[in-house]
Amino acid sequence: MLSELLDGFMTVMSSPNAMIWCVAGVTMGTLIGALPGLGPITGIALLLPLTFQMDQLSALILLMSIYLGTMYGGRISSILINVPGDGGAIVTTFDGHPLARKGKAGYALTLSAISSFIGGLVGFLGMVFLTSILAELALIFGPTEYFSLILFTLIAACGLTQKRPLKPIIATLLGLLISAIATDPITGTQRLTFGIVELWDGINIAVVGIGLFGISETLIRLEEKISNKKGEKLTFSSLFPKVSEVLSNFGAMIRGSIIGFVIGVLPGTGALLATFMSYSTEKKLSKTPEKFGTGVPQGLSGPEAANNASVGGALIPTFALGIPGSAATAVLLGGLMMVGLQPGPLLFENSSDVVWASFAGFFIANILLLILNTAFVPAFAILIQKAEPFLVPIIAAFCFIGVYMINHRLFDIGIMIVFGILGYFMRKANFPLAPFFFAFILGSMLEQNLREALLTSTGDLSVFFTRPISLFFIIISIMILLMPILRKLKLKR
Amino acid sequence: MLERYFVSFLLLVSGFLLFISFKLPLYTTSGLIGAGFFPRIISAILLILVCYYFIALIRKKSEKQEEGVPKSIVNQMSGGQEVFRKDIVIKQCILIISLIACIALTDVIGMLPIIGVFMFVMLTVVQRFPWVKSLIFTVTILFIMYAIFELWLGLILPKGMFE
Repeated sequence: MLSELLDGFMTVMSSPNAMIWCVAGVTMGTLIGALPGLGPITGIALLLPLTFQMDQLSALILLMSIYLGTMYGGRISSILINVPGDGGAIVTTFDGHPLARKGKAGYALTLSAISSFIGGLVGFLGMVFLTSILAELALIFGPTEYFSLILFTLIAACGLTQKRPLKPIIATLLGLLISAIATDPITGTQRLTFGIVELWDGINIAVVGIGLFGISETLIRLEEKISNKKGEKLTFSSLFPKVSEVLSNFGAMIRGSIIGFVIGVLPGTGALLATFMSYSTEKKLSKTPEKFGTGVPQGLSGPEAANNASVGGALIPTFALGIPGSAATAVLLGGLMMVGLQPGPLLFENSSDVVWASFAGFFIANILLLILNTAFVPAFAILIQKAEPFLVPIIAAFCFIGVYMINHRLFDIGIMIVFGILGYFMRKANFPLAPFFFAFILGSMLEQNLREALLTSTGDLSVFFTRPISLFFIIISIMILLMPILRKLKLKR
Repeated sequence: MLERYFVSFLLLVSGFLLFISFKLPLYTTSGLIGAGFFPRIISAILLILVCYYFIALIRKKSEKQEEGVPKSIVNQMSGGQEVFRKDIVIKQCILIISLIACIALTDVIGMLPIIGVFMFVMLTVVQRFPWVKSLIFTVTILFIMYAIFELWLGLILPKGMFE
């Protein structure tokens, strides 16, 4: 295994073409990922035509570099302007943007770049050493296990452990309800679509995300005095975290990396679930969970590591089984086939040299991205300071174009505005946006897996308690549900 | 006050969606979960929780008033940032109305020109920048957008009358 990997490194290093496309991939990926609405899926899809004339190795390295680059890039707009570049960067807004608003934009960008690097590194190591074991584990997961996992994630993320959990629960339920707007995937019945054809396929996640976070941000920004932020001078040292600060986040980075990698390897889950799980884990482990959302470094470093570790995880079933680990790897899978590679167990037999060289390319891309994303921190931080007074129209304009490009529909922009207004009022009334959006994304997955599980068990609910993995998640979920009651009982005593 | 309005809105939405969900089948003909199951259960729980929260809010307010706390402070204590300034609300309305106008006019004059007009209006009318500065900034951003989306990424944006 190691000798094959070393051969892979030699192949990439001795191929100028592969190296050039690696640099081009990470640069283009970072730039695309930083644009609101353009994530890894769009990024890979848009740049796919470039690979048509390339050799297999260069094509594979370019696609993987773009994928990794968009993951790095997504955090830039999340931290600087509170508009996530893609789904995986949403959690970055929770504590990354508050840090930027405190005048620590450079610190947040560097910390997230280091976390992303650690996550990418863990993803790479997992990809190299654990491919076969984790791919087998992922195959065990059926609808029953997925339902229990999603249920556990929702319960863990909706804030039941907080002192006042009612608002997050209401936000979660609202998100779940809105996720039901679409054609019923099993019976084909129109649900809550009110006869609007554009709603038959449901509401796009990115449209809701951009509206909820981006447009509501512009409305909030209009309330603030611009002049207060002028004249703040950035010192070079303030742009980079101290070694001690990085070390204090190391635990969160490692935890996030492991969560991201394991979640990433499960087909169909991807970075979004990984980042939310990492965030809720960090919040639970924290001594000051109430401060999360106000600029806590662990709330940024953990999910960022998870985000990038999920890339390595998602690539495992894509390479080993031909099953995409995420929506982005589904597009990447198409790219592999177009250049003549057939993902699946035979890939390692037929094109072993290309695969191991691409793994090496993945590692090199990760290093290049760390350099790119730390060296340009002053540029990003100064850019945001200069651009601050102009941000409202810029955010609104990029949201407008970004949402239009998802489906080339003006209708989606209208939906974005609706969710922008909803997000604004939720923020003003102190209802958290994150549980709402999280539930919106997971709602359809939760329902579909529940129904599929019951379909296969002919309606027998005991299936959730007889399968060990499912039972494990159900037990943890019940424990979390009981926590507020136990806390009340403890207080009464 | 804002929180009460928002919770009232949630009350209406959840009630309305619960009503709509009753028109959907709860189970399929084979006895499995149908299209209406999920929306009905969720909207019913949501309605109950929102009702509970709404009553709690009213109780909280009346308790505070009985204690002699001034009305304005009670409003602020019931959650949310209550201070609404007319000029800010007007700015926010201009932003939303401008975006809606952009949707309506995109197919007529094209996406990039309408975004240019939007940005210029936002900078001069809403944020009170000098018009020369606003114009330079708008043109620069439009050029960057054109370079990224049309030239580099090769995306086709609606061109309206310029097609």
